[in-house]
Amino acid sequence: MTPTDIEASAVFTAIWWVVAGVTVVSALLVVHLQDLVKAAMALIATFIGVAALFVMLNAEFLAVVQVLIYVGAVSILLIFGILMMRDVQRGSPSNRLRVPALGVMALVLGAMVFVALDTPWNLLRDVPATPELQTVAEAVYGNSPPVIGGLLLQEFALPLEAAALVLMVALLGAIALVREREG
Amino acid sequence: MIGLNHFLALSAVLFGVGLYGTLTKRNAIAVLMSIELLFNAVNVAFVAMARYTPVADLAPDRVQMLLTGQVFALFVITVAAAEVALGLAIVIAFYRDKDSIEVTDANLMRR
Repeated sequence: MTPTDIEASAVFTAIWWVVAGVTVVSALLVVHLQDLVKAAMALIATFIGVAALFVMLNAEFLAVVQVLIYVGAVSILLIFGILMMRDVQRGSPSNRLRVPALGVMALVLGAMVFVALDTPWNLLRDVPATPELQTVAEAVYGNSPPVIGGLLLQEFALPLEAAALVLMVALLGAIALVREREG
Repeated sequence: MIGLNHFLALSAVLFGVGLYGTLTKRNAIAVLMSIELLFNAVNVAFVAMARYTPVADLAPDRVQMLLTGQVFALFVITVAAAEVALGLAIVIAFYRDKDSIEVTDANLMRR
């Protein structure tokens, strides 16, 4: 969809850079911090930054889901996990792969950033949409939860069932793995 | 003006940071946290693509397909939740067995 006036404004650009900066810095902290509890806090900051990005992408429903599931459930689960292992104090040193991993990361990162910035993504934008189509599209983005629900139950019904199965198997597997064996 | 390439570049940077953490961390829970970073990077790319899809060549009754990327992101979140639950269960089982959560100590299959 073509950008709205808000998205073209300088304020939006400024907010975007602040959010992007917070997200990347906290992601770096997740990898850099030795204290795992502090790293988990930085991870929560990253999750909230990504939720803010979702809001800026007109995906408010996903932003709420992100906060509920990642900030509310996944990070709490991780913190419980950290607290249950007693040797937290040893921190999380890096292994011997540090230099080759840095090389791999630089390679992948360079390639992806190059593709992201060099591809003329906006070529198709030159085809003008009819005003009616534009109005319908704005309605879709403006009121996304019913549209997402319709997509899940019609076009993506099979993946939805598969996701339910994945969740159930994961739940059963997790219980089976951590259960104390009798005798 | 902020466009699709800004979001994709940000997603690539997040992915790179997560990849570095996944490859270098010795603590299994830190590896899990880095994998969560990877999932989030992919989600940003999905949702950005959903936002910047051109409307012009869509049939009027297929406009809801604009949100395909958001639905994909929902599925990624589901799989990430399953992954972190299973991953933690494996780490806890491993900790009980070896009294350690360092991935370098997981060498049962190498002996």
